[in-house]
Amino acid sequence: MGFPYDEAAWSVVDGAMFMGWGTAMPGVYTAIAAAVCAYVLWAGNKSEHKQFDKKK
Amino acid sequence: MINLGPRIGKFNADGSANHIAGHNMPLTVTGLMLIIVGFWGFLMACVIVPGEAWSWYGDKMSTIYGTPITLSALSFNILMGVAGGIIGAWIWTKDPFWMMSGALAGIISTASGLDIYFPALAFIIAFSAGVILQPCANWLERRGIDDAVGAVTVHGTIGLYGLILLGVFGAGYPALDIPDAPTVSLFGQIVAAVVFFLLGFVPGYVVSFILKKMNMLRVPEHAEVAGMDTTKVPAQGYPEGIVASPAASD
Repeated sequence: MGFPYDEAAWSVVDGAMFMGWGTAMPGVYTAIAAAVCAYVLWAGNKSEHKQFDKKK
Repeated sequence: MINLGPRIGKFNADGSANHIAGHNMPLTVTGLMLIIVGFWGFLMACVIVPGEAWSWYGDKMSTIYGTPITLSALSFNILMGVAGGIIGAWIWTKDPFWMMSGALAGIISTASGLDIYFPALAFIIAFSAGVILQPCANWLERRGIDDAVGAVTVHGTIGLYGLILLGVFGAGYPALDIPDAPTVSLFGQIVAAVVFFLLGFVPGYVVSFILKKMNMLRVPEHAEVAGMDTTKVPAQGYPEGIVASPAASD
């Protein structure tokens, strides 16, 4: 892992301090989150149109 | 709730549950939003600011365990928690009440690691919490527990879920700013979940049991049927009257 969390002290903090800093994990998490959002957009739109069509 | 018992009309003789809707959906959703606003302040207050008698440092912010934290991390992750929870709950239930409860569940599921989660990870965890929210509520309901506002589901089951997830994602991170401090681990988080559950459940059960035996826990049935507005306050909460609306079709 990139961030030296072993010390858990402010003295070693010189930048961002989140899980996976310095590795590919933030990119992976972002990609998964983006995929979830895209799916929800598509699925939500589909179910909304189904509801609209019920009222036709 | 075990001692209090379910609301009148909640469960049928065969054990199946009836849905008792709130009388005002906009007010319910607004109330949930107010809780979310309050959660922001409550979580920000977990930061130990420098300069106090109990501060770990004289010039830097830390958690109560002395580990580094920033308000920015809290704020961003809380926002991601709200977003993930609201989306997960909506896509699963399509219900406004569960949607806003999902926002709350999103915050609660990520609360344990707000200082160290990457924001997109907080979103994913919150999304999963939003998705499992209603199944958790149904699970409680099948056990005869009438969780009227979903509090036990959101704070209890999702709280335990979030606590244990930190052991999955945050394993190995330091838990305290002292030499040779223990690190976060899945087993440690599971033990913590059991301890917190007992700390909450046992005193609550004992006190409510005593109150029940003293006949102080629940209002009489006739007062419950008449409603607290007219019996306890007493006041007319809705002087123009509430017209019963037909149940919404699926």
